[in-house]
Amino acid sequence: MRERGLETAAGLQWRNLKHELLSELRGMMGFEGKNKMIFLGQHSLAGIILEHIAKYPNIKVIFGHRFVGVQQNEKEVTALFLTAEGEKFMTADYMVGADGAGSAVRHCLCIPFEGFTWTDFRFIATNMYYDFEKEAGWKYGSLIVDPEHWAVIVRTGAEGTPWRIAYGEPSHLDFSKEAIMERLPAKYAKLLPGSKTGYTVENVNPYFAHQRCAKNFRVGRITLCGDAAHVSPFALLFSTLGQQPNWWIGLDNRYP
Amino acid sequence: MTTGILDAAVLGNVLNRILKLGESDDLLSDYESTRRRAFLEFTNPLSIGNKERLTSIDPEKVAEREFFFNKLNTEPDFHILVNRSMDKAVEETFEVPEVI
Repeated sequence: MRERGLETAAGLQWRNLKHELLSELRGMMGFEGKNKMIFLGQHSLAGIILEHIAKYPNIKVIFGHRFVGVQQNEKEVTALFLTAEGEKFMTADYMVGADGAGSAVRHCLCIPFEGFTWTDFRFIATNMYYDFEKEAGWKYGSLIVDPEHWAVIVRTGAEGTPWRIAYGEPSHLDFSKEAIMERLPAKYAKLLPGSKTGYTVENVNPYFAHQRCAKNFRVGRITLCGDAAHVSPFALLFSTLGQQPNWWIGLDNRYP
Repeated sequence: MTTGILDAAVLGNVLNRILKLGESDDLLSDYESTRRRAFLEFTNPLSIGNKERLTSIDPEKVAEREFFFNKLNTEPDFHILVNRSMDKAVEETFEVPEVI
């Protein structure tokens, strides 16, 4: 992660719409300041995790299987997947549903996803290239404080990787990609420091922002994990991992 | 994915202890209660607070924001305090004991 991301002791910076620095939280992350914050895009992290998994002959990663149903008894769990070759049943001692906010595992177990969804805005995440450092001396990331044009602007990794700008738009608008792209120049004109020219947009995605938690994380031999269990988009904790690399994601070298 | 990776770390330890060390799968319920509590009592309120800090025009929230920024701007120790509070995202790790 250190190799592929951008490690920094700098913290989070809050700015207003005039881009003036309001405050800064230094020394983010790490117990006792032993570790620094690493900016690393989620897809890069996923790649690193896959590379680690490949070292374990007893783990197999299978794509193209859609989970559609499950049953269990006191000894085992059997899950049904739909694949290009038809139905496939798999049986295991335990099952973990780590299948995201719209978790099919959670749905199948009839577990309510309690909490609320922000209804006054939709969350737009855009990946883009712009020389924030040259334009305004922004090295890592900023939070823009404003009731209308609030935003989170962060680097997704080392030199050459895009920046991520996430902001909210009123929920009555059209959220087709075309409509978002049409509104984008006006939004960037507010948010970008410096010349506001010469940027390129890689992609845009609209999201509903939820603050929700599954009523149960466990039903018998099945557990929920990650977004399948809970979602909250503004925690800005980034990943608190890296501090004890031997235990994260349970890949414990002592028990190969 | 905020704190979801911490769930995975904790659940990895729990499953190791059940499958490799033969401990009771009641540990799955301990996983459930500790990770649910971390979300409901720490991550979720922090998340909502962060959103309000960015956007709110409610005088009370604005005052809270100014108080928070002022403390960061004037008290070096407050940075340590805020950083330490992040430890609440994972209070119990169910670390696999050093055996075998």
